[in-house]
Amino acid sequence: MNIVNQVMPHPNNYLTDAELAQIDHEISIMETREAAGIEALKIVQAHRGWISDDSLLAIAHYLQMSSAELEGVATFYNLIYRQPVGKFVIHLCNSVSCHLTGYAEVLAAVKQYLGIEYGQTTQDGLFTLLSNACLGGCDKSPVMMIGSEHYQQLTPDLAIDILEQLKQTAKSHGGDS
Amino acid sequence: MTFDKQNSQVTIYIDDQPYQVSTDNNLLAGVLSQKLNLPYFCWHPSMGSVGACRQCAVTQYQDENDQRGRLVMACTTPVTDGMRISLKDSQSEQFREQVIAAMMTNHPHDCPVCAEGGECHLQDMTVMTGHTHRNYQGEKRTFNNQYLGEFVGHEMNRCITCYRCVRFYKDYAGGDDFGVYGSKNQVYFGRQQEGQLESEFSGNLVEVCPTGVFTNKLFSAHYARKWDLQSAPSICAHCSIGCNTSVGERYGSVRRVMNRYNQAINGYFLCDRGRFGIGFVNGEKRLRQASGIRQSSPERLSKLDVSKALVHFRGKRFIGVGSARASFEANYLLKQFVGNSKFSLGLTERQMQLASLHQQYLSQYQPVSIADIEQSDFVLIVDEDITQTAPRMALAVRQALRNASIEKASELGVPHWQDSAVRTIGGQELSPLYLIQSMGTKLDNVAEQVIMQSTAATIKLLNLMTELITSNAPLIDIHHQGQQLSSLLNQLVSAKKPLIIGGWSRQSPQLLSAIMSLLDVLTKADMPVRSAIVAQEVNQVGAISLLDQQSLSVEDILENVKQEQSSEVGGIIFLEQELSGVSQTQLEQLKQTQLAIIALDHSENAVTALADIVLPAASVTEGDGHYVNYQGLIQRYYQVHPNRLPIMDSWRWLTLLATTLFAEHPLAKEAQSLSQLHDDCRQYDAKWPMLPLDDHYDIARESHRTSGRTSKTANISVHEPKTTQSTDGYRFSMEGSKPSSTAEMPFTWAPGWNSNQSITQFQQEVAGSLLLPMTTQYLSIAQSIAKYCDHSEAVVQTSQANALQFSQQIKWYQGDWQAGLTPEFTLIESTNYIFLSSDYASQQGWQSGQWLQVSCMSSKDNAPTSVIAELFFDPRLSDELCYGQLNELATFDVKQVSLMAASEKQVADYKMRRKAEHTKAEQAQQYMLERLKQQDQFIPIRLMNGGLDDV
Ligand code: SF4
Ligand code: SF4
Ligand code: FES
Repeated sequence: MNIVNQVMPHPNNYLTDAELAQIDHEISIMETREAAGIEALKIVQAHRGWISDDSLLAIAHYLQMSSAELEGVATFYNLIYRQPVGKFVIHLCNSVSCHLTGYAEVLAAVKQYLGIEYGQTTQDGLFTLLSNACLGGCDKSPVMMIGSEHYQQLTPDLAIDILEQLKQTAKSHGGDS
Repeated sequence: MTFDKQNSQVTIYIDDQPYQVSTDNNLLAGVLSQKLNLPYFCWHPSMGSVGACRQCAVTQYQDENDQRGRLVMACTTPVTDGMRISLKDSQSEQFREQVIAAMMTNHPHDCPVCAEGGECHLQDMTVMTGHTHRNYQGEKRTFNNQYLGEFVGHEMNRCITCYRCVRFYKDYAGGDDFGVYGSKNQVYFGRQQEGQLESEFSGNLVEVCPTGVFTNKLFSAHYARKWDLQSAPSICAHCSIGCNTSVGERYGSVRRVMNRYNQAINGYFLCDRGRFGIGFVNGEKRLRQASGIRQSSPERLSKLDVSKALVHFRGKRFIGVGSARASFEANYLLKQFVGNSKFSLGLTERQMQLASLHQQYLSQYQPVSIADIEQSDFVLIVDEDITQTAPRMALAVRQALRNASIEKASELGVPHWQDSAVRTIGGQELSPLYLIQSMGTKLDNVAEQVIMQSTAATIKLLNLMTELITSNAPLIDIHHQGQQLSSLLNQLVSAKKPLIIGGWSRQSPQLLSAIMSLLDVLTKADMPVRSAIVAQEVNQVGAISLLDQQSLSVEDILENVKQEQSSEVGGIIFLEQELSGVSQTQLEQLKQTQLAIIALDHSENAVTALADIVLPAASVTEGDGHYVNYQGLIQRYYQVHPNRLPIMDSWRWLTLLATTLFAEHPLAKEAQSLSQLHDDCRQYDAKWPMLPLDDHYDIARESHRTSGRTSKTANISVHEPKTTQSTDGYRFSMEGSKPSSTAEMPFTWAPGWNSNQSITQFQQEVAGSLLLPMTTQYLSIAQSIAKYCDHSEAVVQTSQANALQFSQQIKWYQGDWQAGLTPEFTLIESTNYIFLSSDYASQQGWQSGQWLQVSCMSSKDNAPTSVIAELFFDPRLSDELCYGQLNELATFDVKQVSLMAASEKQVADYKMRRKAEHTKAEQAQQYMLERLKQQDQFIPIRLMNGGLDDV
């Protein structure tokens, strides 16, 4: 018998009713309980912005799967965030086609404009910069994705314009994040 | 593993040469079986193929005329008749070299500080592909390492992403606290959080990982290169399975245990008790001097000193108490010397009943081997937590459960070795495993049904099953105490290779007897049932084969001792016996008598503490003898390093004692070697097992690259010492025949293959039997104790109000006294816990995680022991049943407990006590390490010679 030697937050206390209801729905349409893992991660992330250790353990506990297994899923998909991220997460494609069509310049411009490196978040909490191996837009490269939006045929200037705009929107909607 | 193996040989052409290759395995296995060199990483002979590393690429041609061919991965390609491949063409050669080159972009320049160095599969494969230059100039990805507990080190930068570790840990061994994280160039293998690896097979990561990511921490702490180790074939001394090991030593201290391939038993894997429990041989509790004997010379003990100390007992009779951890030879001699009516194994009356039944079982059935367990299509385990008491067997059961998916895959044309495909096809499908038990085990989540009940209820249930099968009743809708039994019974009677496993750990003769009745009806009904009974200790089967009608139980001995005045008994000889089943009061009784107590043992214990004369016995690594495993298989362990006098094999001590004490006995003469002893025994006793002791070999225990042959002792004398003579077919030297001259190889090595994976070079075919035959001699065992055959109703009754029946969960690192002396085993001990039914607990108003005070009524002395334990719930339990682990009670023998909430102070005291124990173990670990390292620079020249009176 494995003794639970990690302090697991009890899922029913930790996860909200809304989260649990959505997760239960996913479980009901899956073959096994743990197959709902990826959806459960997405659900909790949608509510909380990212997946903390506590969230991970609570979901694993709720799905009756090992936390190692769920961590494997969470870290495999780069749209699951295991660290707090900014309001806008920039996924900049760094695969071959983009490299050929000006990725390096775009990256340099973005980094300079935001003052952050890959994996970092701006001080105002607005932007997180991540790399992404192929967004499926090779014919319109270089490409980046922010939220569910794809931005294609980027140039350094275009990229910065996009970021500017997002910053403005965030300011005008101030406080609803 | 293969199910209904179809082994047909076909001809394939490798570089235009014809070879006969089996179609039952993949092309890589076929090539390696021909002893050809083809590099690989992710494929493993017993875990199959996943095609992850791309290292095993070869060129396959359509026909003789095809000049171009195409690259295929040998490990994922089936063998077909007439197929043509090349290993030597430049296309595949270059590809393989480039695969290594790519791995090297991230692999650190670590070899000098890496514990894998010199026996690294990655080093070997790199050389094999001809990749000899570093071209990559860029940065390497780096990782943080994790603390994975006391045994396994972690250096993730060395990873080449072959996925072998996670496939072993999770898929093969069923561990769930290990995984793979991340993607792309950032793939990480480890735990979700730092902490002790929970699997009892974690040590295999060290051998499974082809690089130095996972290392044996205890070995690294006191390290030597493989080529500098002196090794010998040995047998794991820690449970009744008898896994084959190769033990390595340098400068007189044992460094590590590695797996030694034996197809029928351990295959490629050991459990952690076997791998890491060896520490006791170097331990602080070791007895290195005799005591109670007046030495005439301060330097050394002479034979004369020993005889003088004993001479006034001449003519007296002795009681001899052997043990299940002493060699077969020593137990046998002891019995011959003291006589049948004075021989004992230190077993209680109840254990004598078990022994009697076990004898009967072994006289009727041939227990199934570990390899054969893997072939089962139905497994029933009766109240024995084999995951902890015989871990290697549990690992085999896990593989047996895969047969359902292997069969399903084969129906779809997917061969058994396509590991990931078979697992995908199989999904959650497992062959049926039924567990009837009084506690939770690690196999619960792969079982079809777990029937959780008291041992007494299990006995009734087995008897019911026996009746039903005898009466030939239709097996539909059968219930027993609310449990549906129909599927269990139906699958049991319809399986092609059903297996039933039981054991000693419930200490219940009634249980064993009920299992045997069930086996009996199944066998009588011509069903192909196979079985195994797990004994408690390494040589238990060998030892109990010596018991007969006149043998004494512990109770008999104590009775005898009480009447000692009137008897002719002069003393008791304890042979490697710590009397763990005897209470402190009873030990006191022994102490009070006038009897001379002579103890032969390798480490201090309760018996050596009260002995008048203590003689230091060899431990398994410096001894020479045989153990008999659970199947009755007689296996030899050899000296890894010379014994440091006066430490000697117990059988040598016994013959020496006999020359004074039992001088008239025909065996009372000192044998020069084990084979001479066997000759003597055979002359004396026609039933003595015929074993070919191949002592005519001259195999070097050291590798031919050993450093410091002449200078290891130069700090003492610059003269090259004479090597210690040995008589067992192996030499304490780097000179001699190569290790592979026998099936019992001291270590494995082949040109170009420095790691343990070199074993392929010595197998008939990959994962098959060894080229040279292994001795497989079984002990023939008759039921010779009859007086204990009392099969009366279960004695287990709950008498006291509020009392619950408690079953002790013995952890893999407990239950074996010798291994338990290893400080690391104390360090990983979990705190006390107890599982209760949630209903019962809530009636009492107790919460999970709360601490309880547990008062135990042991059947031995009725004074309750009170201990503190943390509470957990197990909803499967009934109200009168509980299980858990109470470290203070090492024995299996606790029957009833009563519970109440513990006070804060009690809990605080308990935690403090544990902390103190922890600190003590840590200090012991440190101290031992320092002492061993100092000793490396000081090897008395005597160590290099032999013989007690040798000058
Ligand atoms: S840690 Fe070792 S076994 Fe695991 S993937 Fe890396 S190299 Fe392979
Ligand atoms: S303790 Fe038992 S299972 Fe483990 S290695 Fe030793 S013999 Fe094998
Ligand atoms: S061994 Fe064949 S791909 Fe890894």
